[in-house]
Amino acid sequence: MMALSADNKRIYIRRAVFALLLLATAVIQNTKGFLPEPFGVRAFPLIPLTVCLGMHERDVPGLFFGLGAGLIWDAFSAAPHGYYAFLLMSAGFLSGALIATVMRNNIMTALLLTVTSSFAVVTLNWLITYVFNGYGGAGMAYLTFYLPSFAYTLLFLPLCFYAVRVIKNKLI
Amino acid sequence: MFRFFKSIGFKIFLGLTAALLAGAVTAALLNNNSAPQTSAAGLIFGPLQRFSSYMADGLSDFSVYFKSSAVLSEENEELKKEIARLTDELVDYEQSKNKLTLYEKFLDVKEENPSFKFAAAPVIARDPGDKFFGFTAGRGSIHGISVDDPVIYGKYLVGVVTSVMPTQCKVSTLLNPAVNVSAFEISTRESGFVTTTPELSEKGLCRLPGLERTTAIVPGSVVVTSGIGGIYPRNLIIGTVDEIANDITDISSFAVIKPGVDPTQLQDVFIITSFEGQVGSDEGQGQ
Repeated sequence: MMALSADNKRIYIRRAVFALLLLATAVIQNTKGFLPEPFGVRAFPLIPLTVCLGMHERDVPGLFFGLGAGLIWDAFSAAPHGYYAFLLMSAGFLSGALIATVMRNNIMTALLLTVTSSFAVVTLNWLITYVFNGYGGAGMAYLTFYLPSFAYTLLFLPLCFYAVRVIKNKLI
Repeated sequence: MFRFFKSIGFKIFLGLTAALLAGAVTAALLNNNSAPQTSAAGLIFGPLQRFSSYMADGLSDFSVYFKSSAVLSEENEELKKEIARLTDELVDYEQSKNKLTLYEKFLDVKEENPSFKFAAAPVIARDPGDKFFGFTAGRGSIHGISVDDPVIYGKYLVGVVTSVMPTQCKVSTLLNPAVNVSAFEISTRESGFVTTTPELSEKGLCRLPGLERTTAIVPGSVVVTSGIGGIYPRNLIIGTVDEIANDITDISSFAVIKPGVDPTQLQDVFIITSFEGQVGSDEGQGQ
């Protein structure tokens, strides 16, 4: 059996650490009582973390991190089959692909990509839950729950971005 | 751009998207309403989520006592250790007491309804994206749970199982507009179905529509399940009438109902896996 080079070993260790970070974040997000819910508004920290992992690890690893995050979220959500797996896989893949081709890897691009991904997820949630079902009060729900949840989610970006960067720098 | 579409990453992305779609189609064809990849993720990560939920409950109980312990620790080290030990015991005692209270309530239900078969299930996760307070319960198909099994707390109806994985299941509560329960008010016997709207759900309320304008139902009346349809057994309490209002779309009235339990506060529930009159069960086939 071929021995792992020191570089490859560090990459595997780093990705294992990222997988653990993802798992911990999924558990924190899905367990009631770990994250405060001011005025009933909820946060989805898996989105910024997936984007940051895609940015730092590039497209293919980002795709698999996103898929993993989405599958765990799906296992505990009321969403249709594989819904979050597809959304987060897309977010991780596109973030990595954009950083590899046209964007720089910094907090501003992380903000831009997280804003886009989070906005897409909460707006799709709202469309599926309210608009496609024809429920009343859809506009008010968007303003009082979905948009505030989107803003709340963005608060987790700096933490995710710097946590991923520190881990990557330590295990580069 | 053309190079991007020819990249290995994009091909993997397309392949995995196709796999997810195939999983969704399989889920639509299966009776358990759960995609294979979601079931696998639930099977792997369910125990971790269950442990995390247990820790969250424990921490909320522990925090109050921990503060007391910190203050007293300044007095002497021995006393601090003693307090810590007693604190652990107290947390265990509180959790045991809660469990005992829960089982006492179910014993009452069981005595009144000998045909019921139950499975006790802890609430292990809540999806922050679900605005209608759905949750994941820690029992699944290997424990005999099926889609459409009623979920109760004591004599109160909480909701219904909507998808089942091997070791866990997803529950939609009475506060989900997609849930409809045939019901009647116990003193006037006026019947209908209890459902909710997103606006009422936000306030933790349901409604019983289609009542006569001259309805005799008054605030404080109790609404229970009627058993019609074979999904929910008869006589489970849904809640009490909060107010009677006139419908703006027709000449009927509706009762606004406050459910008997707050689904956001539940830590344990019971799932009725079989009862007399249940659609599709052996019990029900004898009817």
